[in-house]
Amino acid sequence: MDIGNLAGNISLGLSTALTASNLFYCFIGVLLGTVVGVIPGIGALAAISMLFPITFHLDPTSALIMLAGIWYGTSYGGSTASILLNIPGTPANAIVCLDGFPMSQQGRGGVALFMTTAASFIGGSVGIILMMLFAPVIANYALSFASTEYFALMILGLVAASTISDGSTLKGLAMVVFGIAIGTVGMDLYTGQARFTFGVLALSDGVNLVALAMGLFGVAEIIASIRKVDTRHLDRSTVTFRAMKPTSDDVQRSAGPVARGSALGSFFGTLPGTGPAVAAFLAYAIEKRISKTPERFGKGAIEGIMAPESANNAADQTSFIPTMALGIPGSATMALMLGALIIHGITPGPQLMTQQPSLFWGLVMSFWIGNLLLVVLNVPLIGLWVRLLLVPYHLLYPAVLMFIGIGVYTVNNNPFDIWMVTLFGALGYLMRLLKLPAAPLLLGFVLGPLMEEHFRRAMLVARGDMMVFIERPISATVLALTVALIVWNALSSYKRWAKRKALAMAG
Amino acid sequence: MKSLSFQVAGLCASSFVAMAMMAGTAVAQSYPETTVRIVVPYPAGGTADAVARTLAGGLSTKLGANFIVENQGGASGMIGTTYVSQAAADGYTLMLGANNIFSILPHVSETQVDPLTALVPVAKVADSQRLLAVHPSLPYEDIDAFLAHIQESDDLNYASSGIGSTPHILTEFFLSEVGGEMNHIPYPGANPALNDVLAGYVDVMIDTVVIPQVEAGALRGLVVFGSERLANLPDIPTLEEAGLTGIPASGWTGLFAPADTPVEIVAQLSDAIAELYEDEAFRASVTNLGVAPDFQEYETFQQSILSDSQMFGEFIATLDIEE
Repeated sequence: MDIGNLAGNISLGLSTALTASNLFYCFIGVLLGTVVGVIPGIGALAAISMLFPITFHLDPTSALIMLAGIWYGTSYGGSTASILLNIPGTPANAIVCLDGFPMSQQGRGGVALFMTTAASFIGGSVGIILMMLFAPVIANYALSFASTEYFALMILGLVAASTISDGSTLKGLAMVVFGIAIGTVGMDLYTGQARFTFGVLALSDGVNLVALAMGLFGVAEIIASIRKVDTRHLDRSTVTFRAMKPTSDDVQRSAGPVARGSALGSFFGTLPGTGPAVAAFLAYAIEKRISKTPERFGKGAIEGIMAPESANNAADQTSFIPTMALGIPGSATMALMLGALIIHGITPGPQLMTQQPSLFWGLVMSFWIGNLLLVVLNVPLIGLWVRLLLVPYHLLYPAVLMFIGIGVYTVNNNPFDIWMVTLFGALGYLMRLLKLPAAPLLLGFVLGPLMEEHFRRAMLVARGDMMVFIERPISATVLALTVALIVWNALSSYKRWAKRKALAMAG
Repeated sequence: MKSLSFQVAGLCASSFVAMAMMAGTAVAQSYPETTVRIVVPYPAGGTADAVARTLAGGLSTKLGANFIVENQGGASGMIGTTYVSQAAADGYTLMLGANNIFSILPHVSETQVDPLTALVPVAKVADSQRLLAVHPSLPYEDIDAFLAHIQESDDLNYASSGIGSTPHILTEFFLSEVGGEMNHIPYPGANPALNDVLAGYVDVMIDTVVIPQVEAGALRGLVVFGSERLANLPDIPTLEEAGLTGIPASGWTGLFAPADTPVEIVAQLSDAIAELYEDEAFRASVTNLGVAPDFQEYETFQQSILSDSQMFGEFIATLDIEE
């Protein structure tokens, strides 16, 4: 890395990002991002789709800075509703509900919000630094992950995350499988055959992730709380500024999860087709797995909010690496970002970084400005958000329900998705009654279709030769790790069983 | 006598023309009175979306009403197509769609509406530019070497943006015309496909998105699927120059309206677009989006759509695509 060159690029980027208009659009972007992040159901994709037409009238750099601000701003705001209301702001924040909401029930909602802001900032910073130093190298490295490697990673992810929820392992696994089954809905990529669409055209592209996540987590929570309206009494001392202060135990416990979450998020961000939601889920799963006290998870463990929040922010930033360095968007949202360039006649491609250096570096430096603005915006807002809890449920929840409807509708402009979110809300409520966990279902839904897509493609490319999974070094390594994990799992549960048996014998 | 009958005929004809023109002006005065929606049956951010927004901008200025773009993506464009076909046929709901909706999808799947009868063409606006590109690690320096290989061996894989997508059918058409074989690897869209071709995981791809990669030297372009060479890649021959005829050059994008839209409105829109295309600056703004501006008024366009659909229909019938 040429340091002189980097310094030149940084100053070029700053001179672009610090112009009055770009600062303004960066501010607008992150402000909107935070707000739509906080509002359940309306995520980055919906917000960017809504604002996309405006970019036609903006300078391309300003347009990109604003859209990017919405994208990473959403992750800052997204955990707020997860923590306070048990309703995720976006699917990538769904996992934060598991420990965030218990924290807020324990009167530690302010702490959780403050700490997730810190986690978001650190995760985001790691992502930006990687992008500044190694964007082309990382983009080329990410290309070495083909379908065989993706398949191996998805297997590892499913095995590692199979115990993501509390309670019965059997119920958890059943829900993973159910999620995979829901993931098969839609047109089969390899034959064009419609699967489980029942002739509904809107289902041919599969079930909408936002509708599924918002139904299972959001609408189900609202239905469940109908019975407890007015029975809630909030301790007013939990909504003061002082209540935001984390204990030194909180900070100590957070260091490891944030470091691992940032690394994991940075990694998944660079892989097209995965992204922040996958990163957040796996970061949570890994923390729970390596924790010495996994039983604390799901009951307000701070590690359970720090790892996923640092992971999804890091992934948000690094997902710009393939998008900008190769000109290949890894997700629908990234395609919109590049669309804002196409519309101005800038063709995204590998030459974007060299031919439009002020655009690339201006964008990267705006990430720093945006992330700092987000911290400045979010910390004072915590008090305000926590006060939301003082709004009576009978006023708050109808509004939340309306926003979920708007958010789900805006993704495809299709009213069918409103029916889907309603259906999944009912399903989610039923699952609560039966004590079936929702998080594994969402995990299966996200990972299952990816696993199928990549397995079948790996087989097509290798013309049916199963050996490719162990011939290619990266996939062989990942699969070996998976086997090791399964063996370790089996051994440790055997040990626990033997110990219990010994205790029973002794007793 | 001859001259008299001619005069009568001429009189009749001119009065018809005058009446038609009066009718035309009457409609022209009343349309468009309010906002016109151009539905794009794909998600925002793609090339068709960019073309629609550029066209909407031009039509807004030209016709003095607000033309807005609305995205209704899903099911390869069929959700938006179904929606527009059921909209009021008053000229206030239009659709900007691509060739696959009309000439491919009806032949590969059961569609709820027949796009050819449910919609009427308003004008053709652009041709897509596609390029056959291979990973640079492959030894084929030109199209002849490549053809020689695929005619002999079936060990190469090609990527497409999905079953029944234009690139998929174009590639199969190409293979059957040249008598070559390659294995099809479908992807959920052009971008993930491009990703694996860049990585060398898949060998070949015929698409628009490969063009900037070839310009950057990350892929090697062998032949242009189009009637003209690409401005930025003047050394790559077209199909015809490479001696390959009978292969459909590429895809098109056009403006459509619900089937019963008054022909006066269709003609008025078609004329307005024709005038827009006389403006060099407007043409340049379309070219910048990565497509070749190409205008056809509604009647000519209708004919070319029908022959396109027939050609693809006959070809697809020979393919083994599941319904």
